[in-house]
Amino acid sequence: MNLFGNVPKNDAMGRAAALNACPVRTNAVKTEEKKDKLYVTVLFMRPKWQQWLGAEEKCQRTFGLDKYGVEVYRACDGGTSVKKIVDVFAENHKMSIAEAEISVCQFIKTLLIKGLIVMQVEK
Amino acid sequence: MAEDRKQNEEKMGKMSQKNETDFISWQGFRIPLMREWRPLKIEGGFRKGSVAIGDVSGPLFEIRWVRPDAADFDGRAWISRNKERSSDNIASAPPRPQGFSSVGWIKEFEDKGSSKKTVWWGYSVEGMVLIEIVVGEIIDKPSYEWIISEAIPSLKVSKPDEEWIWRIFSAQFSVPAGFVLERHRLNNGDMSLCFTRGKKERLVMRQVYPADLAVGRRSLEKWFDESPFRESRKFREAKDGVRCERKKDFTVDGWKLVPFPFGFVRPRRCRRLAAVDDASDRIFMTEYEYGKRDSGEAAEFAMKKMRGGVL
Repeated sequence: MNLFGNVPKNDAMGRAAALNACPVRTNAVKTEEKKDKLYVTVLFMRPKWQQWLGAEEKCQRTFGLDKYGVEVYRACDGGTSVKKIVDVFAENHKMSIAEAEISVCQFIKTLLIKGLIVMQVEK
Repeated sequence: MAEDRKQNEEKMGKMSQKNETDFISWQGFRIPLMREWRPLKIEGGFRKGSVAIGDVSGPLFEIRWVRPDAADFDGRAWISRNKERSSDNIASAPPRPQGFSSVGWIKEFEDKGSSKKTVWWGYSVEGMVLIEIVVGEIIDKPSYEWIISEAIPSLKVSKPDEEWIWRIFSAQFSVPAGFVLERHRLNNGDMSLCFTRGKKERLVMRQVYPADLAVGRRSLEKWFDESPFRESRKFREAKDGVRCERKKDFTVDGWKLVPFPFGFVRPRRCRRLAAVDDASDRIFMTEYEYGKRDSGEAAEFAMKKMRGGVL
């Protein structure tokens, strides 16, 4: 319990658990391919303070993914673990596992923050 | 318990598969690693240093090297002295990799406040290097066994008068004899090593990947403008030098000069080469600075070796 009486949540996932989790694509409002890029539009819930200032609750956001981004995004099918995605990415681009892991995990984190994917974690 | 054993057996089976291994080659030694393993920390230079190897769970073992200054250094005596310090735990039959004249090891070695370790030493007269490998005994059993039975026996050392191979993560470089690593910059997808030989020669080798992405953002020639290392000299193209610029490769001769008005101070000849390798999807770059009377062949040598024998 901290100074203000709140119990800090210990939701942190171990590295091994995170690598075994399976990312799943969220329902995109629209996907469009243009000049080697894939544009994905998703629904985005605005933060409370923006709503309080008068903004609408939901809005649409579009993200452009390049060739490498599309490769990872398409692999997020709910049945493939992060570890497997890393292995395949390393194999396809002749990289070491460590290098692929850094890039792919960072990208998956970005996709997660932007709401393009969610993670399925085994309990 | 049975599940743990099954997992370990699976891991051992996986480890015995040849294609699951890679290797690291640094400062004249080369050792195999599992594909998931990686260097976690690199310290030191040519004379003395260490590399810690680990996986996602943490460090597994550490390789330390020392190149003794004394010409009459007795590796066997040094190893014996070290073994005597903890005489209770001396183990027999240490792994003896090829090229090592004296070897020794201690098992269950306990340092102040740390867990039990296995410490292996080997001295190579040809390589003029003393290697120490420290393996934590708390790591999982298959990994420990693999390090002891596969990695250490396959350890190799290069002679100082021969070409050295450097491999870190997935980037591999070959360097002519006599070049010593001065600086390195290992960014994900952009690995650069800077070597020197004597006071005049400097060889910078760089690999950027994926090439497709890198060239899409910046032209091949522009990649040289932003050096990965701090430079005190600026490049100026030579009027009498070679210049060959194509879509996927690029060669230019020039001078490396101290900025104006001191450009006349010890100018260095410089050759820059860059090539996009479609097979590996990488950009290979070399920059070789040399004295007025020497030739720029080392740049071509380095490039050729990076591309697997093709210039």
